[in-house]
Amino acid sequence: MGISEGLALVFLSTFPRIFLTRPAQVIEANAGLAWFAVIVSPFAILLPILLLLYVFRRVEGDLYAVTRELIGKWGAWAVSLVLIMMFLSDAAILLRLFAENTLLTALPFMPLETAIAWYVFNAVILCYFGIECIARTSYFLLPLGTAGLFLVLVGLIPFYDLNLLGPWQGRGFGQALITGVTWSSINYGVILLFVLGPAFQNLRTIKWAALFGLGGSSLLKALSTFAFTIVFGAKIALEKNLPFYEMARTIYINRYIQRIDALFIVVWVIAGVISIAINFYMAGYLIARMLNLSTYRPFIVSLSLLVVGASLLPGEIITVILLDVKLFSTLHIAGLYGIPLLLFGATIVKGRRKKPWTNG
Amino acid sequence: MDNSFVRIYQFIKNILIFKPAPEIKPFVLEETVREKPDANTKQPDNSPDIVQQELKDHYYEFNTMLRQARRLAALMEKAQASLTSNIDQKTTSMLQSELERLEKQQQELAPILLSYDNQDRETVGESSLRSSLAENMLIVNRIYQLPLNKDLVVREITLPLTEPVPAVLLFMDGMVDSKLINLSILQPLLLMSPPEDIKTSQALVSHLMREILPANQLIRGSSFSELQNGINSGDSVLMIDGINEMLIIGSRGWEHRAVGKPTIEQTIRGSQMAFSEDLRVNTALIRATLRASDLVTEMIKVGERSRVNCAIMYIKSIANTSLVAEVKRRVESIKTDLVDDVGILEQFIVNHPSLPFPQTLSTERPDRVSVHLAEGRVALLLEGNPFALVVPVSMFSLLHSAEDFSLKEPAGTFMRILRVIGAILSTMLPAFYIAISYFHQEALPTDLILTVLADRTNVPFPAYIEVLIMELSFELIREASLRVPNILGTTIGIVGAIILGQAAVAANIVSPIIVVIIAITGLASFTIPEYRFAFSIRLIRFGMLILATAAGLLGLSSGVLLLIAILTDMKSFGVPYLSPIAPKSMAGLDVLVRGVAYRQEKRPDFLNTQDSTRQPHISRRWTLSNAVKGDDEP
Repeated sequence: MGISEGLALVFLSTFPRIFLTRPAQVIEANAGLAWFAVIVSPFAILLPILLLLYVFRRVEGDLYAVTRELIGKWGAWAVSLVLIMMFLSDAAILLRLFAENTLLTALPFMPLETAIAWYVFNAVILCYFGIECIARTSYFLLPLGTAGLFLVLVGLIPFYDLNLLGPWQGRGFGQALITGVTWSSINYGVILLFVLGPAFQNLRTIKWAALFGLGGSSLLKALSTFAFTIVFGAKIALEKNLPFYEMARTIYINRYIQRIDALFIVVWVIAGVISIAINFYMAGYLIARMLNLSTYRPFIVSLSLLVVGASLLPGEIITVILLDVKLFSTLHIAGLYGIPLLLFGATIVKGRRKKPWTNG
Repeated sequence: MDNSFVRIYQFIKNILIFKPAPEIKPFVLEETVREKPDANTKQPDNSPDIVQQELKDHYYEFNTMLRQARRLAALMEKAQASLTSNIDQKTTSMLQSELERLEKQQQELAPILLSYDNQDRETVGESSLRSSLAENMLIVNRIYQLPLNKDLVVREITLPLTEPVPAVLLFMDGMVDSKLINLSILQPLLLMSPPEDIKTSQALVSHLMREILPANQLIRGSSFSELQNGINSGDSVLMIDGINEMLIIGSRGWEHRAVGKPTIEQTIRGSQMAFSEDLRVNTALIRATLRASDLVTEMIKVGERSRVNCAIMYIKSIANTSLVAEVKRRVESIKTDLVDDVGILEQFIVNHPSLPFPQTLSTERPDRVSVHLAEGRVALLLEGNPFALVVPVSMFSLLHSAEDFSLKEPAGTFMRILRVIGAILSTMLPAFYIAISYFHQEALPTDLILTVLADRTNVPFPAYIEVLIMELSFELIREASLRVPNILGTTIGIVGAIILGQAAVAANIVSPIIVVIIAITGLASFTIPEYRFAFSIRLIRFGMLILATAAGLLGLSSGVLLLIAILTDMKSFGVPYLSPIAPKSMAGLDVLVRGVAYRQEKRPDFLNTQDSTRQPHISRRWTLSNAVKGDDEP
């Protein structure tokens, strides 16, 4: 796979939360400066990326192989288990949130279980095709999704009011920095480039895919958060559970072009399914690597059942949203920063220096 | 006893008791010995079929030996007669040569007998020609089922050599040019002067080839498979007694359609030539359009029984060698009785034959094939087919038309975008309508939804049934207009579209909005230049409709996603189907947007050609120099 596939994977695994409650939560924490907090996040992620690039320049292979070489088999198992938990928990939360949103915005009479089954079915099929297919599908659909988002932002131009940014410093730059770093874990998807390792052409491909994918995704998220703030204002924005849906719903061009929010369902459904499929694949891939199996496919259905079960555990959506915040500020942040630091430390200690790998 | 009671009893009995009609054994096409239903069930050695086969073999062996004995007896009688009379030098040499021929045939007897041991089609086909013309003719009779088969003409002649030699000219009636056979083969052979110093059979064959036969295509052959290939392709075969070689003389001349105008890929500008059923005419048309010296045409026979020529064309210095090798490997590996259509050939060689999407480009235009060959693709043409297949192909190539480059850049680009819109509408419009009208009514303006509702008040069916009725009706009209003669076809189209639509609305079977939607969808589907691609989109439309009926835009999203995933997963001869977008590669401004001709500097990257440059960075060299002054300027 090349840069385009890599950036599409990173983009689609870090972006979908813009369609969920996360922008409203950032605004709650930072008021008018929420967009800045979103911009800070990718810069914070640069640290683990640089650490992993340092490690991968010295040890060849995918993340499992590198970890195994640096900290042994049991260390590799432990790291893989943490990553599997990160991917699967993310899949479960995304599954539940997207299914709930589908009921809220599009199909109010559909049972929650059916909506979840629908998403899982799509994700499983996509996962079955393999990561190359997922990446290329993502890359193919990326411009269409981005165009849809821009269409919403352009359609909202009559509603933009810069005064709603005020007070422009929100709750202060310090708070924005803290939020940005704390919530940077929602961009943990960038780590998949290292998990898949040699599936990409070389380290340069990984580096640019990470930068472009994360950069593009963060820029769009910041833009979207900014637009959300100047359309509704910080105070009203707090009441909106689904910012993107609310923004699309607000568009009024004329009597014939209004309430077009339904049309954008396509955008976020596709983004959600691909994101869940990526998580399934990554978990399956890591399990296959741990057990030294040649294929991940036998795990897909069982993993999907596990994820469905987990996603149905919380009683109501509020619990899921809180769980999402809690998981990302603990498990994911620990995994995102801890694993690269651990590997970096191990590389320093072992002082290895090898010729960088390439699959070409 | 025959009284009234008994008769009444018999009458009632006849009425009540069922008597089946006398049973006539129906015709059943029984399985042959080879078609064993169960591989584990062994055929007993003494089965009638095997016994019959063994008897046949013995019969052939016996007959062969008998014929040889008769020939020997005849020669002995001749020798005896000559010895009793005054023997001259000519008779002696004649007897001597005849004896030599018989000795040679005697030596060949053992292989003949061996070949009769298993007289199936393949063995006879593979075996070599004998010196004995009579033996050769017996095998030819068996291969071509003579005298039952009336297509093969066996013209027996005697070559006027110093010692006259019997020969046979074989050709397939109707597949040859009779005039050519009369004037260029039979006349020279029958009227030639006896050559003086011809001693060996090799020398005779060379003499015929070099000095007697004026045919432009003339090759030597020595096996029955070559004989069959030659005769089945319309060539004539000359077999001479005493020579275990034959001459295959080019005499093809069957009737075929002349080069006409394209009927499916019509264009306003550009070439107006289309392929016909003659393979050689088709390859010549391509060569006339693409005059490259290293344009290679390789011929591969396809089909086990019907050995049809398949031409594989490519430009040696451009096409990727592994692509050419793969195409040849796939075509050569086909094991089937008959491949009589490029559509069937496609199913044998593509990666995903069960998916509806075409994985080759089928075209009837030589100019289109030439353009693709120049890009580094490979073309396949099949004997008797007016279509060529071009491989590998990406989905976007199927949305291109031959005319795109005949028009200027804005027009070409506009038409391509229009086709993409057409493809999208054709795939999703009915499903989108169902999704919106069932699940997301808020997206429709109030006035419009009120109008739609008012129109639908008297319609008893749900909207998806309406769409299905109209879609099926549309498909019926389309199919019917294809199957009836041309004059009626137009009428059926108009009658179907206008009267059926209006009548359906008037009868409250469907609402007017559905008629409009199906009409737009139908029109949109006609913008797709590739017939097979348009067909696959028609099929997908039904799938989308089901998904949208089930879950509105959620279902439609799933449909789109899975469709793209399937397309992304597909490959056409090693090239991803969505190239050059997914995976991304350089395409030289020839995907959706059509760049100007002088900016098409590179060949498509995904074809991995040997020479990627089509033209230099500045191809309009005149822009680099000053204009030359005209005569009227000072």
